[in-house]
Amino acid sequence: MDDLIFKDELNRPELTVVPLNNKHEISLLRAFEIDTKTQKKYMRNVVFMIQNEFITDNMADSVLLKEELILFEKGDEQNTFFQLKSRKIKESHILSLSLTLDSGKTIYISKSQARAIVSLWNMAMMGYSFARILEFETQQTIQSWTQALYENYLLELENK
Amino acid sequence: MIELYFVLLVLALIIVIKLTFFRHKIVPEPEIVEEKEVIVIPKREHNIKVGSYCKVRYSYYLPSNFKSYQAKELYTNIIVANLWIKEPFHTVFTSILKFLEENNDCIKSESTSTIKIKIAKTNESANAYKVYSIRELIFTTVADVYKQIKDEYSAEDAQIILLAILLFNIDLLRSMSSLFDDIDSINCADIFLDKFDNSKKVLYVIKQIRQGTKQFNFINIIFQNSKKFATEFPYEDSQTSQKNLLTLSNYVPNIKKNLINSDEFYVTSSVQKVFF
Repeated sequence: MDDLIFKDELNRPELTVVPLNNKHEISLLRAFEIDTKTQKKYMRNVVFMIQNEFITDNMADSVLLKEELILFEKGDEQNTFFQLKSRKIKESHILSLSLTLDSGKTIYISKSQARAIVSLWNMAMMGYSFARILEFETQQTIQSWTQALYENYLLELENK
Repeated sequence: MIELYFVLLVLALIIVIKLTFFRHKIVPEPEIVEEKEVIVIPKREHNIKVGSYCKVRYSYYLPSNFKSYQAKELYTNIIVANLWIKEPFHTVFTSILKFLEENNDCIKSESTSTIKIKIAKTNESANAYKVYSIRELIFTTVADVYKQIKDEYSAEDAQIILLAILLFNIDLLRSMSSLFDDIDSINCADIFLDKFDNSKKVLYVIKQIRQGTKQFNFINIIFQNSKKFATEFPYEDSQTSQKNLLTLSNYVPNIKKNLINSDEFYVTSSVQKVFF
């Protein structure tokens, strides 16, 4: 995507946001490459975002995060993103996945929320081929991300 | 007797010949008046346009010294239009314009959301948001305030207020922190006013604007309103985007005056005076 931004005006990456969970503001950011000559749309990157913060920045990490959500209580301390924690609410022990953000806030995800997120992920991926994203996934820089976010109006105050 | 007849006959003949041949001499001929050539001297036009016959040159700074369009426009509409080339105001005003051009900085926009970007491979992280350029905000406030001030205040007072507006938000530049331990708008402004006579008055006006007194509070309002139409740029606060620190030689720009006719500047405002 780095090359795409500065290559051509007609071949800009298009970023779209899919909200996965409204309570914790979890969303999925997909970067598309639009080929105007062949009029085709290719997925080039998938990123998890929680409350305006990037959790992953490439496809491999995003798939890993999704798998941790699927495993839920079967996962252990080897998890990279989520950690299994037992909490006591109304005198009953509850298992939930926890994640601490850079802002210091911790979020807890229940089992049903995890299932909902995974099913929405599957819906968001429907209809797109993975050939492009696996073959041509390039490393991106902070500058290229900001430029792409700015051009797709994701830095506006409304798209919080 | 015959001699008498002969004389009479001759006389009669002479009379007849005179009457027949020289009749036209009796009729008085009309006098021929010689027509004199009247030389019409054309009146000289007194309303000669200034600069068409005698080009007056003043010592201005070259317009090519300014990079940005806004600074060039401010220079022509304020200094060239009013002929405020009296020192030390002329050099102080242009040196601040030049300083703001070269050492521009940005402040966070009021209508932006921040997104934290992380790169896993290089372990980098930065906040991305939109910014305004400080130079643009200050220049638009100067242009807007000048329209209100020019009729209300005298030339000296207007000059003092314009210098105060250029300097009252100069502590927003992050590079100024390298010069001072405590960043204060008055400390920062004091550097630029070494050569200016009425520097105390300028500093007094800056204090008044900062306190938001009744007389000068409209400048704060105009500064806030200038953000509405200012252009926004994407920005990330990573280490690579940080600018070089300010050096002491930077705030004394090295530019010289040249003798230029004022027609070379295209003054857009209608307040241009005739200097004759």
